[in-house]
Amino acid sequence: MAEQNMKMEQYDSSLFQQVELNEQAAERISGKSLNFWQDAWMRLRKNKAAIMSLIIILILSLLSIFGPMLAGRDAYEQSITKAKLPPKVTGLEWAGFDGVSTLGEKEINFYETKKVEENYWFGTDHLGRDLWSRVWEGTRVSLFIGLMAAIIDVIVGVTYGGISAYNGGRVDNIMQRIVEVLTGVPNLILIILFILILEPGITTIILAMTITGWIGMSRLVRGQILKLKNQEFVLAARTLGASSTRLIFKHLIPNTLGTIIISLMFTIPGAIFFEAFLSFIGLGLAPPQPSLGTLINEGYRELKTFPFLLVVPSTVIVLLMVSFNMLADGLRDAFDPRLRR
Amino acid sequence: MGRYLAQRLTYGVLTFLLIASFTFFLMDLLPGSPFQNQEKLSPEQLTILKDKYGLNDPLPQRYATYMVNMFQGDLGVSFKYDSRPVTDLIMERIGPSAQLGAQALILGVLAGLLLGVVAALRHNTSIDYGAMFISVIGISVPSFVFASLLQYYVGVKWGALPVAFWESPAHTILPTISLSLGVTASIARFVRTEMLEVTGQDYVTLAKAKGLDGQSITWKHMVRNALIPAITILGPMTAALITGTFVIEKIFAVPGLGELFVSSITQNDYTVIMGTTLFFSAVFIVMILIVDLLYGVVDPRIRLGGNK
Repeated sequence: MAEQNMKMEQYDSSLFQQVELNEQAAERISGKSLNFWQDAWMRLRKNKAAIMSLIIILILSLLSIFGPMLAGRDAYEQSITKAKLPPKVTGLEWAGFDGVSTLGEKEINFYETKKVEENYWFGTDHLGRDLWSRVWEGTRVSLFIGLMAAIIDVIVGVTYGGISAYNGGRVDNIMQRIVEVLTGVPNLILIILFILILEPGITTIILAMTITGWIGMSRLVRGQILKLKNQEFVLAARTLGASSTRLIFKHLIPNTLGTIIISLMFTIPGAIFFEAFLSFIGLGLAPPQPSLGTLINEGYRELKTFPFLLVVPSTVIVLLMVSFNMLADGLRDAFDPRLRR
Repeated sequence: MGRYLAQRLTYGVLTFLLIASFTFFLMDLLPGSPFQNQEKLSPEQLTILKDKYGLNDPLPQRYATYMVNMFQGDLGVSFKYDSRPVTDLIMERIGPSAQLGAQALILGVLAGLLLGVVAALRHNTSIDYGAMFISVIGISVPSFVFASLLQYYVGVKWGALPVAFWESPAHTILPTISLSLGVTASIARFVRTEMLEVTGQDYVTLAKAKGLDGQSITWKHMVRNALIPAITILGPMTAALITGTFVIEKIFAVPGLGELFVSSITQNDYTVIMGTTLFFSAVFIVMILIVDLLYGVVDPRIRLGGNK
């Protein structure tokens, strides 16, 4: 007890300084204020799965452009003497890239039997075309279809939903009744019918997918704009004399961008899936044009003897779809943390 | 409720009529001909053939005939299967497809429910992450890729289960699993989100305060309430199941409707394409109608809200 009093005596009042209460200082915001995008990026950066997905998408996109050049082989060049070679990569023999395939009961090194000196990283197909080049060429086609379909969906959906919500009243009523009738249409069957009457090709597939694809987007945008258009900042802008165009492009659309981007990211894998699906049932792109779907279809036919022809394009499409879905999930959490689970 | 029902029914019928008319005129635009070896047929023979199927009448007349017949359950005759009525073809193929769809739905819902509930109860643990990873994979892997690999490894390589055809219950296992993957994944995600939503509700706290044990809180109070919004995904789920049957019936050689649709497309069998299209559309529209009505029953705000 005495010891404690001794200690206390060491600290006399001269050592202390009185703090004045400064109300302005207390109200000061010390953190840097972030805009919407910085805020979203900050949250997205913490999401490891989403960042991994972003990196995978970037790598796959780069490979889809430069991949064929890396191997230096044409995706269309056929050579029957080099047909159906299993994948072989020097240094990766332990991982199955050893050029050996089991035929019946025997294991055969096709590179030795066919006297092929060079290595085909992903092997070759039944016409001796280099699968590496074809896979990346196909990835490019699939990515292009996915991206274009998503962009057209956004343009049509945002316009339709925007007009419907902004005008409201009777216009909205009529436009929404049309949408209600259209949502009852099973879109896949419609897509198939469209492809039947048009020439099969990349444009046809994109067009067919966007015929009903925009509906979901238009509903989302309409909901957002209905919510926004009665808020005070819109009223303020209107009071200050902002025109409709300015209101829409400066205030309403930027505030729905988060929703639009999330939906866009979910549309891309959907479109990639549809392309592959159509190609698989024989309605996709005409040969020799590769896409992930046609490659999977070709691979499926050779499945029993040369499974790598199916496994390689399947792996790429699964990677692509998983990455896009995870990135879209991450973006949703980043743009709208309230939805985070 | 009566007015709401009438409104929904009107939309359903309207959509169906739209699809029927649209497909009819689309079929007219189709390139190619349903008759094989057309070059070998003389013009007279072709006229006779076309007369037989009523293809020489003017378009509006054919349209009227088709629409009238359609409402009497007559969808015309197939160009390929020995002039068999399309309705018969559809009827004999419903069985396998319905069985496959029902089995996949039951398996998918049960597995998804389990996965979703466990993930929500173990929120933010490795079990949760594992379950969600499985469901992302399930949503991302195209059903035909999954089905082909399953067929190859389980059927061909290990020889554990029949590779194809639709004969015994064992034959149904692989197609069912392939088709249920997507259902499992989307149900799991949905249930997990809804369960987490419900966790913080007052009635759950009350149930805990009353001293109920964890099991009955989970199943009686949480899962039941979490499942109400799940009605909304029934519509998209039906669409996904129909899409799935197209490829899965093709891969496993199941004699179902999806297989009929896909083969009629490759054979230019117009009447069968139309018939199956209308059948799938009807199933889809009825499903959407059921969803809307169920939702109106469960959540009265929807039907009282009018145009919301």
